[in-house]
Amino acid sequence: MSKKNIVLKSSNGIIFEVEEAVALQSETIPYMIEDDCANDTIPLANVTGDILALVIEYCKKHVVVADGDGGGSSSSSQEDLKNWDAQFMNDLDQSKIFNLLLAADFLNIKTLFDLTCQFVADTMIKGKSVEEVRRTLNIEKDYTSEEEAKARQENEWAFK
Amino acid sequence: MAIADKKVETCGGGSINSLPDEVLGQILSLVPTKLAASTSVLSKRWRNLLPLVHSVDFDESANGGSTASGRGFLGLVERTLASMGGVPIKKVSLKGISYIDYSRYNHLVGDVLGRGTLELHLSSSCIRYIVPEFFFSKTLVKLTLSDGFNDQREPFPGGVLFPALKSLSLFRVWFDAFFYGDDLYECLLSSPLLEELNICDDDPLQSDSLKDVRSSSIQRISIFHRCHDREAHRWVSLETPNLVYLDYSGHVAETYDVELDSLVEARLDLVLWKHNGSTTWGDAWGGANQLITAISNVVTLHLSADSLEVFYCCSTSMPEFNNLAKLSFESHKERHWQVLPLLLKNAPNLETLVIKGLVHKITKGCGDVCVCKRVTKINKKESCLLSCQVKVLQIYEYGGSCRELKQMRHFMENLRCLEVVKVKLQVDMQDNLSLTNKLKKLFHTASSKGKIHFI
Repeated sequence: MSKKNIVLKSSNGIIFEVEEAVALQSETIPYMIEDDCANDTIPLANVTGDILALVIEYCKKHVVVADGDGGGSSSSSQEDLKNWDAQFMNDLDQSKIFNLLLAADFLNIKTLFDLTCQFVADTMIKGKSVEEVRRTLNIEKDYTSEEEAKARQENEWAFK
Repeated sequence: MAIADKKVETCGGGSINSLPDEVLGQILSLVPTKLAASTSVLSKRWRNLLPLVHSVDFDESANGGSTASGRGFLGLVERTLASMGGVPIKKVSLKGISYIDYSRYNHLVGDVLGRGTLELHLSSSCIRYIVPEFFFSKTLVKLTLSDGFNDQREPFPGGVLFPALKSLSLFRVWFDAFFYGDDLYECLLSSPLLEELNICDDDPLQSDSLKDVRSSSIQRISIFHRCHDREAHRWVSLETPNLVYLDYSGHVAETYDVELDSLVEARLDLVLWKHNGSTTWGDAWGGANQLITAISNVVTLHLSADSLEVFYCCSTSMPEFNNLAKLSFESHKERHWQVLPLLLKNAPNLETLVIKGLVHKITKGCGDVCVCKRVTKINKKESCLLSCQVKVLQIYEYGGSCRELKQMRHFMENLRCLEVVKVKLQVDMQDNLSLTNKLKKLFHTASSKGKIHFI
């Protein structure tokens, strides 16, 4: 049986042709295939080419293991995949990480969404003070000092 | 994409502000709830995120221990849940409550369960009194109890507490056995949809480990026993006719009362008592016959290096493994391979052999699977490898020593059906080209049609 390919087009017009099994890790794409004509290019207006390339890199890595030989039960292949995921995330800068998270959310790729959320939680929030979180995530304070005091008071227990 | 307001756009894509509230709620669900709540002072937007958190995780030890007494900690949890409103929380984790006000604790658990929680993890290092009145839920799917002794002041009324429960994990917990037949453990196991059970009793001094599982719904079990009291570990009972997957680790028991008719995959790590450092019992105490016979229908079998010894020393017979298609085992330089010839001979349909490490203890009786004996002494016509149907051989942690290379040659020359060999080198050897070249050469001399991969 010949493998069917799917053509994806990024918001900035870059074309990617991928195997169906790779693309179908997204739960959004099947609906797009049904809505449009199956042979057409699927436009992804919310995802830029560099981010789509990352998404596809992730999906390609994960599809191989899902139907690979050896039944996928070997613990070492799971372990390899975990290491690969960690390396994949570590190589990205913060801006790419947030864009990747948006893309995973939009394309509904659960494992990539979970991986990215976990990475953000682990590396940018966990083990940090609120002010460290603010600096890491570059969040502007839009409170007046009274408002801030009130917010602090509401969750007073959390600062003890 | 996120519906971004103007302010967000000024920050551009690729900032945390470009993420929708629900995604931020998801991220905050992955950090300790105390920290998640403290982010409310970051900005106006962050102030409203707590109700979007669908998973709460409270760890008393993260509160600096002494600053919050058990009561203070319970109060903290109660206030957080109150500030989240009545929203359903998918996952709740309460860890390390050192002092428990049992009445408040039970009410809290009842509140959590009443919210339609799907996952509940309770951990505490002291005695827990769980009152049946508060301990039930129609929605709970996953329950973990860890670190503590569950005492009961009244018997559970029987019947089902968690009709939707699919996964139960019990880590270092012991149940009061005072109310025979009505104890919490029995009640939990009788959950009609229960599919998965994980038990970990890794305290060597605790002899009350859970060794008795009776359930017709459970499909997957993982058990880790490390009790050092042999008397308390005489028997293990698994009456689980629909079990598909068994992962069992523990010292070999004297008897196994097991019903495993549906088993497809088993992962065994059985340890001889003589390796228990604190004792000097005889080499082969224990009886694994019933267990080995009960698992003989499996398709996939994983054995630790210790299990190979138990199969050899603690079993008087070896059943036919007619369904076995994949066998994987680990090697250890102080554990022998003596059982392998018999095991391979009794697995006529074996197609995949996976070996983690080739270095094992050399004994007189390794038989013809390995090259412990000089190859010239082996009567080649009788080698059990010759009749083996193995098509795929996977070797992990290959270190490239002379002995390992000889072992590889032995496999390649004698496994006649071999089509694919996959080798994963030891981590520090992975750039060693001469090692891979030697193996490739060896393989192509032995086989003309097969393939060798390095993974």
